[in-house]
Amino acid sequence: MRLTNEEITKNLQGLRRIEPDAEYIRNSRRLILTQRADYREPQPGILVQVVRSFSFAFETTLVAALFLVVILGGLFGLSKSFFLPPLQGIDEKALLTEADAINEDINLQLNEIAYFGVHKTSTERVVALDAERVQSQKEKLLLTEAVTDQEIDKLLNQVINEY
Amino acid sequence: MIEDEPRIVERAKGGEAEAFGLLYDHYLPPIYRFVLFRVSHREEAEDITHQTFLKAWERIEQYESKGYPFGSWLYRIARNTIIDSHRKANPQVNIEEVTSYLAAEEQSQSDFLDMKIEWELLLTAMRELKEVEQEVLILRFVEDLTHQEAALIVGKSEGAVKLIQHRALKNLKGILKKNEIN
Repeated sequence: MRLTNEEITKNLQGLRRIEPDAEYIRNSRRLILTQRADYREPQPGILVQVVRSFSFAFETTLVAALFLVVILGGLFGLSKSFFLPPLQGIDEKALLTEADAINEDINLQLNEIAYFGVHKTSTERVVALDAERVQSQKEKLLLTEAVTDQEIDKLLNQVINEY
Repeated sequence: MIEDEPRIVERAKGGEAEAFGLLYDHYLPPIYRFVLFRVSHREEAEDITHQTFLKAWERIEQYESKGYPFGSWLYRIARNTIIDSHRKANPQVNIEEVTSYLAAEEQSQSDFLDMKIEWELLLTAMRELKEVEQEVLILRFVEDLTHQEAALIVGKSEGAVKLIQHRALKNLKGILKKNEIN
């Protein structure tokens, strides 16, 4: 079999007539397209996709922002005493002196209140004792007056009887 | 290339099964032949061709045209699938089974039988060529692809494909001559 290049290529081109079996084509085609459709949903319209993507992006951003606020707030609260620099222009000694003075004022006022509280009680007691004393003097006076009145009556009766 | 192929491919990439069906119908015969001539076993060729299109459909989002027809991508998938398949098992060679699918067409029965014998001798000789030589001959002369397309499929430069083609034809003639003597 001595073939030229042209004869070989012509024979090779003849092999193009080979076709797959028709039944195989039907089955294979159906299986491939069905198998793919099994796990792939039909694509929604562009508008729906855009809206969905924006909605998803918005929700994600919102959740991330809230999360950041919570985390950063907690961290800030925990760390501000360690990380925040002292405020400029504030004299700490003056502040402490002022705070001491306020404390002293408060203590003085408390002492006064306590003092007046104690004295108020003793004054009431004095007043009560005085009232008792006055009452007893009144009673004595009344008794004295009663005795005096009887004596006067007796003397008057003697005068009347004599005259 | 199928008419309006870029648009059909885009539709298929969007998940439209009908569009991929059009690509399947157009490219199934050449891919099947390419696989059949390489494996020389009908059932294995059918399995590999099926896997090729299934992989293509599953990964179609990864396809980028870059100016080449969709078929080039399919040939590359088929080529890799053949390599994977041959790693797993030794292929059974049955040249008669391959030529049994040739249609008689307009020739008389005796002419057709003569042609069939010639094809079988040709395919038997081709089996003795290197794999890349077989591929280049199939792509260039059976499927009528350009040197550029064949180069893209076999992963060589265009110049390398021209050299491989020249060497393959020369080797094929030598093998046919040797087989005739034997």
